[in-house]
Amino acid sequence: MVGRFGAALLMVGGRLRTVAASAETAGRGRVPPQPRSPGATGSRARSLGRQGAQGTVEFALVFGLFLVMLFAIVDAWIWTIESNAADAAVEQGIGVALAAPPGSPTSTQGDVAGVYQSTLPLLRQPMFGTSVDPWKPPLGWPAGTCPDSDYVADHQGVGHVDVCAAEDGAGHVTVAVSGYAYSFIPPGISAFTFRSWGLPIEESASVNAGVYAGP
Amino acid sequence: MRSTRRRRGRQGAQASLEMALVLPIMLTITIGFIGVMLELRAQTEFQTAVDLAAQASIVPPLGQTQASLDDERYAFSHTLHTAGSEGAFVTVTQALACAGPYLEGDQPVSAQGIPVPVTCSAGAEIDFSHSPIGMLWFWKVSISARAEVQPSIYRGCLDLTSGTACAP
Repeated sequence: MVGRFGAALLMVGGRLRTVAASAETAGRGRVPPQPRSPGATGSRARSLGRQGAQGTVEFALVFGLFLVMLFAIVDAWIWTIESNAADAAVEQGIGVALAAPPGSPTSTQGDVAGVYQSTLPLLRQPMFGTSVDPWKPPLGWPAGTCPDSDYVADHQGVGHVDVCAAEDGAGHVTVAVSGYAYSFIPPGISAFTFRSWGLPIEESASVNAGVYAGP
Repeated sequence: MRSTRRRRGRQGAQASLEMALVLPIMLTITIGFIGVMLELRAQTEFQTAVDLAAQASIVPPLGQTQASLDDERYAFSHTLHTAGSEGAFVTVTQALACAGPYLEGDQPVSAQGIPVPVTCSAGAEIDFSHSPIGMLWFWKVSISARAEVQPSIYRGCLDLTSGTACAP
């Protein structure tokens, strides 16, 4: 299609050159000028105009398709970077949670508070404008559980990710990063489990941190 | 008149041919790229699951083999989410296996004073056949992950039944 657009441009260029050559020859007086009917010239001009317009429309269609695919690729790339960062943050958070809280080396509770201090700075930089905050559970929220990405998006919108560290009382610590990061997904195709302008980030891990070695 | 119609027909056929050539190439590039990204994500998540399983295996005190086994399995299964966006393509083919003297109640150190590590490994397959990515990625990709952790030389021994420190 782009080739057709180029061909139309070449054709217009070629026609202009022919007209210029005719004018030059006529000026030298070697060949008598040929009378042209105004109707024939108008028809050719209209035809050229139609071809140019058609080429423009075709170019716009192809370019639109190209842009959609380009944005899909960029989106997938950014989502991979963000998800990998969330993965690394969760792994680091679990490492911190496995350690005993400061001042209590024999504690059977994980260092849940330390998870936020450790993961939030690590996660804020690679999220490309998506805000990162610690999870604040509402009243009545079940202990030891973290929200999924849809819950976070329902309550805080797209472009927001929560870091959650929870201990269930039986020694299991869960660290999760969940929410929807900004993306190029337009509202039209949000039926594919995505949300408009957002892609889900959901990484979590859980370990048994309840047993510690004695001093 | 007929010549003009023929030329228009040729142009239409040429446009269709060009579209038929360009569209598959663009689709292949897009689907291929998204497939590579999903595969990288699945591999990273699988590696994280094995890493955390290895870390969890040395949380119980020295020699608590069953507790170590329980903890490493718990960490692995609660980190690799087979219902997640990228974890849904992963099928574990080689179960998690951890080994090391620490898990058997021994804690030898090397000549440099470094404890002999606990090593965990697992294998899986990535299969995109049930998704649109499967149009291009119709084969299965095998992945494997391996993680090593060194138990702390300061880690003592705790009798889980009595809650008291046991003799070395």
